[in-house]
Amino acid sequence: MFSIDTSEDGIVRLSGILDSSQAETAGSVFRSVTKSCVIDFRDLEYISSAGLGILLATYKRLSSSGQTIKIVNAKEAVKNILLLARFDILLEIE
Amino acid sequence: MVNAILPEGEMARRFPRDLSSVREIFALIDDFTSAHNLLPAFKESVRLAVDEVFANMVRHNPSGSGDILVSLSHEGKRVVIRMVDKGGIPYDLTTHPLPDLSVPLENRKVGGLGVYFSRTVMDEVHYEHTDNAGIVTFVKNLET
Repeated sequence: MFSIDTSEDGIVRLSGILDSSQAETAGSVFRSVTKSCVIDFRDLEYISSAGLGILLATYKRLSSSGQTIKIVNAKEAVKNILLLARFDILLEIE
Repeated sequence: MVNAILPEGEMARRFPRDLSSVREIFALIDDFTSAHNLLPAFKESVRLAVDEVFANMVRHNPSGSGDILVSLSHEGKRVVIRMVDKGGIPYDLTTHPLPDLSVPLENRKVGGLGVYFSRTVMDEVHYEHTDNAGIVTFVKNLET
């Protein structure tokens, strides 16, 4: 099960398993994000390279207009994947 | 439909060539992890490697035919994972160029991470194309 929702305060919350089959679902939401946002990974159990591709595309699109994204509350398993991909370089992983 | 005549310590199943199968593949990996009392880190690594290769087989081998076989075998202090994709063109992930992760994120290209993950989280990765099938074999050494 995977779900993603956005709140009025600019927080994007993901939960469940973001595997290859769910990347388009996540992508459709992230493509609607136009301002700096916090991405809450508290309930995310897994992310694949397809999910990271969505994050990368979002980061690149937003940074071109001076906006950014910040990932918070990543579980150890998900944080390990982010670190493996060197997403710690510019994303703030708390 | 786990095959009942498989050797002890092995689980295998064929999955439809569709990304929606990933959830069922994860269930197989979870079952194997539980059956052999393996650590969560094992499951996490295998999920990542198998998800990425399965997605590549579905997306980049459109001339492949039939289901994709995934098997896991507990062999002493290691687990061997095999993925068999019939038909299509050979694609050797062991020789595929890896992305340059030293590049700042804003200059990174989208793509290539899946192969990198598969080759990084496993202890061994082998590829062969034989009898009109692409076969990826992973070896994951078990922590003692």
